[in-house]
Amino acid sequence: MLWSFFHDSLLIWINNFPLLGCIIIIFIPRNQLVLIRFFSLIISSLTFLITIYLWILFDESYFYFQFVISKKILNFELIQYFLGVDGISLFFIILTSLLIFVCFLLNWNANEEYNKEFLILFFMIESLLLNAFSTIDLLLFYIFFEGVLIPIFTIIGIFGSRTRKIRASYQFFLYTLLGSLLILIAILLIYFETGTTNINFLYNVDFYERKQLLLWLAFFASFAVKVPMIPFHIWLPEAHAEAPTSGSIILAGILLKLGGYGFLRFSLPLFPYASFYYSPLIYTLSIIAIIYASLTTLRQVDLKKIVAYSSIAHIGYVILGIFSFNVQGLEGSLLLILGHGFVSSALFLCVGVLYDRYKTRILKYYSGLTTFIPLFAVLLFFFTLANIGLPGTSNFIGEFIILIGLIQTSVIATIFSTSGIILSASYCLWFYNRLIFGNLKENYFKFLQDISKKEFMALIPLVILTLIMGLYPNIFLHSIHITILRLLTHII
Amino acid sequence: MGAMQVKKNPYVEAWVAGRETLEERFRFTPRNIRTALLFGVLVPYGIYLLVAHDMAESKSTDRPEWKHLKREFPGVPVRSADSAQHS
Repeated sequence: MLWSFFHDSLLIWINNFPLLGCIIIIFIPRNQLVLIRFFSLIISSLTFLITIYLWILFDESYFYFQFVISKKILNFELIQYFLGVDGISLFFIILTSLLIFVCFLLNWNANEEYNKEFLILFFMIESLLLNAFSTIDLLLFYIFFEGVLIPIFTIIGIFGSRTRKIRASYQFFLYTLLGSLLILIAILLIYFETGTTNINFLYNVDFYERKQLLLWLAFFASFAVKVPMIPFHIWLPEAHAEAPTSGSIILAGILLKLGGYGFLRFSLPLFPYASFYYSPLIYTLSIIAIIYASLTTLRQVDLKKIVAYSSIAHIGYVILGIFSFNVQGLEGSLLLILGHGFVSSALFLCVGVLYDRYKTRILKYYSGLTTFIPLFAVLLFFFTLANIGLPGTSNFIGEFIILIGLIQTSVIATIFSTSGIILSASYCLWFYNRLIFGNLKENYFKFLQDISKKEFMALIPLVILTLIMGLYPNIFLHSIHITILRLLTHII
Repeated sequence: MGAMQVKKNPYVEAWVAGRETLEERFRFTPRNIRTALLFGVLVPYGIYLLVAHDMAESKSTDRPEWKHLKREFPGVPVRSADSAQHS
């Protein structure tokens, strides 16, 4: 009885389990920090395990949304708590729960400043993101999409590392909010035209071409800021540089993926004509993002900014894949989103390891670390190679499949975007070389210490997942293939 | 771990702080305007023209044809499939 209740409302459990964590933590006294962290870790690991169970139950051959739940919240037809999972959202959900678990593991014996409120904010982010990825209602998606702003704004603004954190948090908030206002107007227009915000119904609506062009632009304004695409990217390096390590992991690993998810879930199937119409513009912005962001990465001296700008370049590939309108491009973009989620989070974690010890992220101070912290050097080398897209790692599979898809659409765009691979090798290897090799600058360092067991345990799952995806991507591709085919039936 | 904090170099710190507040000291000089126009307008527009032409001519190749694509992109002259074949 209880099992069937759990089984029937699996998505509600997954999405609201973190809220249970919030409630438990609220009632634990502030001075019991070990107990608070213990419960956080238990709740987040349970959420992750339930999402894995969701994957096990997921039917790879089913065409439509699965585990569908519909609950009427208010006596008002417009707002319904309508949830469902398909191949696109499944891995976003798993990635969210995994990275939140990694963040809690990382904060296990962190400073006391990362206290009860910090953990509550993370549970809020987790719940909002899980809801955003599993809702199949446009209005609810908007609510959760915007809701994530508040805890992230607080995390950067309060728990950030430097004085520029206030500026960074406001920049992040204003950029995202400004873009999102247009999407709200678009949602209201869609509702007044169709009478629903349910995606299942909206997928069958054929919007008039001129209307599609306008609505697509409104959605684009929001998702392009979130992704972010050049020239809407200014907030990202600032936010990353000021956020605490866990905040950066969530920002790079999941939050940026909301934009890509939005393009896949809404822009492409709802406005196919407009997506084709604007595709040269999107290609141009993505190529510019790949080349300019890579060149900008080359001249950064802040470790976090290096990873942040390289994220912008990689997301350029994701967008190119999404707008290549074929199976390879779309599947490749989903794989790269996932792979980038593992690799960029791990790189931020590695930067966090250095910052926790030496309280600086400026590259000028570091050199010759391999002699004194070899384990860290090996792990960083692995993730640097994965960031380049070395065969056998997750990013290679994603980028390779995207380029296969892209060349069928535009040879010119493929030629331009492949230059990004060379550039990424340049900045990644230069970054690693400056940090790890050479002579240690002894006048800056008193003593050095390799990574702790806790940090190692946080990094190892990401190493394993990066390798699994790089060596046997079919595990993931099987689950997304049918959904991508369904998506293409709406487009082509 | 606080004991491991690096001994900071004031010159490096000042140099990095200067880089971070570049926008406060930025002035539109003729050189900056030229660079901004080149990399902010001309290069992106050039890429746009190349990509749009490439996509518009995709029908003359064996690449898939899309029902939604009318091969009309803003700012790009249209060349029909017939004229592409004749030329």
